[in-house]
Amino acid sequence: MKIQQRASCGYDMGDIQMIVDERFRILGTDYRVRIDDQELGARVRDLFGSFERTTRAARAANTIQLAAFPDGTHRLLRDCYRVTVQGAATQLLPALVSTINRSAVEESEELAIHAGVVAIGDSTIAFPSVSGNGKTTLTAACLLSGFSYISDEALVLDGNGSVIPYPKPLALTKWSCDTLGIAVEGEETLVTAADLGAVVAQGGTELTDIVVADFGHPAEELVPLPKSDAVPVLLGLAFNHFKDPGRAFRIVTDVASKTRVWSLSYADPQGAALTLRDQLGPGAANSLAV
Amino acid sequence: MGGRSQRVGPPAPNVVETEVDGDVCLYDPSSERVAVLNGTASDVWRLADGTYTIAEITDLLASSYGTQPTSIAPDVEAVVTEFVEAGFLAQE
Repeated sequence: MKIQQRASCGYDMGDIQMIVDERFRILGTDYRVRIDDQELGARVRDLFGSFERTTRAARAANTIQLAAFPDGTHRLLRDCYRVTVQGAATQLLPALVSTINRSAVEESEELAIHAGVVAIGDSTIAFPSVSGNGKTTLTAACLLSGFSYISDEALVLDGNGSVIPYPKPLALTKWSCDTLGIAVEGEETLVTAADLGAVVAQGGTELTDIVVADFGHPAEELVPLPKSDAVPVLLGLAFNHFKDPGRAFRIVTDVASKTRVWSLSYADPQGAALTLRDQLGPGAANSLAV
Repeated sequence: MGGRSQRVGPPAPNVVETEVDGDVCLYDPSSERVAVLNGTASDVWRLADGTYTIAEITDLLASSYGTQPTSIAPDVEAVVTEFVEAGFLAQE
């Protein structure tokens, strides 16, 4: 297959043969990924394997292409426009995941809040947090400790406050990999839930616990907070509440009313994951199971 | 602020209000301000409907709390000022 150069296209793809053509439906938006390398294509299929495959057409803006160019570089293009350039194709995978992630969350019609989300037993637990605060590392630590995976990026809630899984590939920093004993691939290491021995949780679950995690405290402690404390936290970390602020407030206050809210101070992600499992998981004193 | 004789409220038209586990939460979609009110602030908010002045709200709450108006007056004034500055109360 050849890419036909369009008059409006910002990049001349020349005679590059795109041998992988995958389409995924992510948070209600269709994406098309085209790659000129079979092995890399297989990796992308694996990374996005938890999302629905589709035959629907994707908008040009949601068509992502990764290819080697005659000058020896590898380029990631979105709608034919360059996103980034690297020497090795595998170095573009984090940017590919990041590009799709940003777009999927922004375009979602459902309320999306910056958070890691995991499940164990009858508990579905969210860690709302800004970037760089250990959210993904804690999520990965939980997956290594027997939790199932919902997302390392966004708590996505439908109009009834039910959790919609968004199991994007986890992007671990070198520090995260070293801390968790995971082989490092580069500046960012992409892993799936299966890579960490975990499964992806099914949709339609109700959130049971909101854990406001604070990394960097030597004394590990999980203490209850007033439910209302979750309201400014969740709204403040929402990606797309501006689309319908009143609806976002209703969903957030409804969810906060129904969930338990905790503060977790910790220094060791793996220790914190075990604390969450022991205190909120099956058989724990705080377990929701009867 | 217009002083203790000025009526307080009503709430600004855009402000959304709900209770979460007994705590009043306010949200102004236009400014994206959100506030969770403590006990006294909740009581002031419930009286801030444009009917009462700060002095009257102070007297009503002091009577309800079984204390002297002078002991809560600074807190009531501070809360009303915060409501106004946050845009939660309509301005004349």
